[in-house]
Amino acid sequence: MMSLNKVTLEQVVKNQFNYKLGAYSGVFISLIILQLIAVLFSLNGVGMSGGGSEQISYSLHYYSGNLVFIFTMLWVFIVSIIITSKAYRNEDFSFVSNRLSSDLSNILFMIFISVIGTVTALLSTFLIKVILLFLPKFDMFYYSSISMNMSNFVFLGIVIAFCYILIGAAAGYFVGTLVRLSSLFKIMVPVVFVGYLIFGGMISEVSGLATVVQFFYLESSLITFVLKTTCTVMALFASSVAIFNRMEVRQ
Amino acid sequence: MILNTDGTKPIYVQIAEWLETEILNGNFLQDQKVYSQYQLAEIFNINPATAAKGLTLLVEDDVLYKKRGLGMFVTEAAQAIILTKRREHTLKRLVTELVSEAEQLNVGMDELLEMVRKESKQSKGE
Amino acid sequence: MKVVNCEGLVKKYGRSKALNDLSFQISENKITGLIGRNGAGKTTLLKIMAGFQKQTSGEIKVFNEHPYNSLFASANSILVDDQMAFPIALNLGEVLEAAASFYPKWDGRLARRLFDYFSFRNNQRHSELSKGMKSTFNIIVGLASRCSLTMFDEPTTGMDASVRKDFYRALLKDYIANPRTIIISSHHLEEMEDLLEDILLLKDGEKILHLTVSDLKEYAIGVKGNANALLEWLDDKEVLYKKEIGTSVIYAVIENVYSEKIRQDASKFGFELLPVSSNDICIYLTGKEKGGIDDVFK
Repeated sequence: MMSLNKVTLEQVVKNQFNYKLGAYSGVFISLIILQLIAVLFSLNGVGMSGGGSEQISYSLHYYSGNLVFIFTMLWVFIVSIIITSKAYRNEDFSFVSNRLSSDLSNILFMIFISVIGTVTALLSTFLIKVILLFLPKFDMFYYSSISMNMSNFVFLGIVIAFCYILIGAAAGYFVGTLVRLSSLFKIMVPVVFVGYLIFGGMISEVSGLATVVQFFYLESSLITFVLKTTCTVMALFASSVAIFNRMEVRQ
Repeated sequence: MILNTDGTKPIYVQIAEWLETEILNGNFLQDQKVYSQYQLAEIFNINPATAAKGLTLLVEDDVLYKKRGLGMFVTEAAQAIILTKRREHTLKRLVTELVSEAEQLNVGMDELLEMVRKESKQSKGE
Repeated sequence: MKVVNCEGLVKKYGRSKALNDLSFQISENKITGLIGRNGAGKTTLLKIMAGFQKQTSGEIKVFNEHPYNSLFASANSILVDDQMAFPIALNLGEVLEAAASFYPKWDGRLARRLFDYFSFRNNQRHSELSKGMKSTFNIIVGLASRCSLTMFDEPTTGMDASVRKDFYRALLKDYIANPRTIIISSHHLEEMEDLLEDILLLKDGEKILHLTVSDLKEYAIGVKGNANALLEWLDDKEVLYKKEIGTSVIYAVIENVYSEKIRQDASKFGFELLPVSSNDICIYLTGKEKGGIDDVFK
């Protein structure tokens, strides 16, 4: 009787995650490029105001790190869609895998890139500040923060940013999986989405998307926010896993 | 030896006959171990199961005997058995074919015997 | 233990049945050839055994487990075909490393030596390789994985003759050294016939035959003789193939039942008996009813 290999889900997921770190490493290059572009655009400023009196005049230039953050969210959304594509999925099955392990290792990977994305987004905002510091045309800098305590702000910022980015990842993964279910969805999803954006405002006072965004954006308590995020992300991932579980591969 | 793959003779039969020839030529002596099915498989580039079938054939004909866990060995009577087999079956069959072919080509008995004698002289002379 | 246990397997794509009530078993450590025409269902069967696709109905068990989504089945089986793909970001050397991490029985030394023998370079990418080289690399992964169930679907696509020979030789040698259950589906039966122990012949998703190669060779016999006499004699026989040679001679292939009687009849009526190659037997058994290619030119 030949010896048969015994493997646990844990081992396989770990193996897959490790090899995906190498195999999917190309995504980080696009991340850096996107963020640099965002930094560049951010240097344009988001607003300006000015004023003066007889003795002095002043102008205020506003800068924000929001663009970097939005670009990062977009990037993670797209990467998530890409890793659910046929080609990427099939690669898992060249080795030891089942659908659950493929999903779990992908999810781990997305959490990983969300972390990396958040950290580099934060660093990019610092980069903006540093560049502005060295530009000769400014005399003074003011940082606006939610609370006066620097460390608190940074922490809150990172956690919140990470939550948004993770939602972006889960949403992308779900969309990517859904689309593979039937090619019908490839057309339906963008159409419904765009249609809702445009016409949603006509149907109800506030468009559907705005409600969704407000659900997160207006949340004032950090804990509730994290809870909402976690539930949403888990629901999206769970649905994706359930859908993929019934799909055939390598056809 | 190259295997004849045109289908006239099953592979396992060719393996068996090759082993018989080896025994006849003294390459395997009495009570000596012959190649295992795996060694035969490697030598002739065939599936071990096919080689095993050839070995089984020889065991049935009492040319080889099996020692459990050790392999196949040449029996005492192997040489005698093979010679008889060759004479009875192979040579006889060749004679039958020869005669029938000669008839088809209208070659008379005397002419045929003359051809046989000539061939024998030639091969002895070489 | 039966490595593969298949009962009443049906696979439908829309309305068409790729597999139709297929039942068979494959025992441990045999090399089985999966033979059949294009569209016979060979690839579908292999993909279901590998767990990539799911059957419509019927039972299939690989190592006593349902292969779909089974990590155990996946860890102990591998399907090598031309769709075997690897991440573009990894080069060949890295792919071999990844494979080693997944398969506990991976034979790194064999992989490395085959790799060098076929002149691959570490820094090449799988997607850059020619079709034949891709096939060659895939079988290196397949062989070195030492999976207890190793399946090949047309593994020699695009390979030149000498590489094909090397593949069969390498497969045989590693099989002798490390026995495992092997299933090869191929169009080139005549090339790999000696390598096989069993043949599973499929037609239109159904099992036609499942027997040893030696039994297959004795399954049918060719008879050649005078048209009138032969046609009459063929009346009560199972004829697999018939062809006219010249004006009055017919060549037919029949099932070799009561072979002794056939031999007697042949010498009585002056028919010539000819052996039929396994390849031809398979062709005749899986043929369409519409007549031969010659009819196109009539």
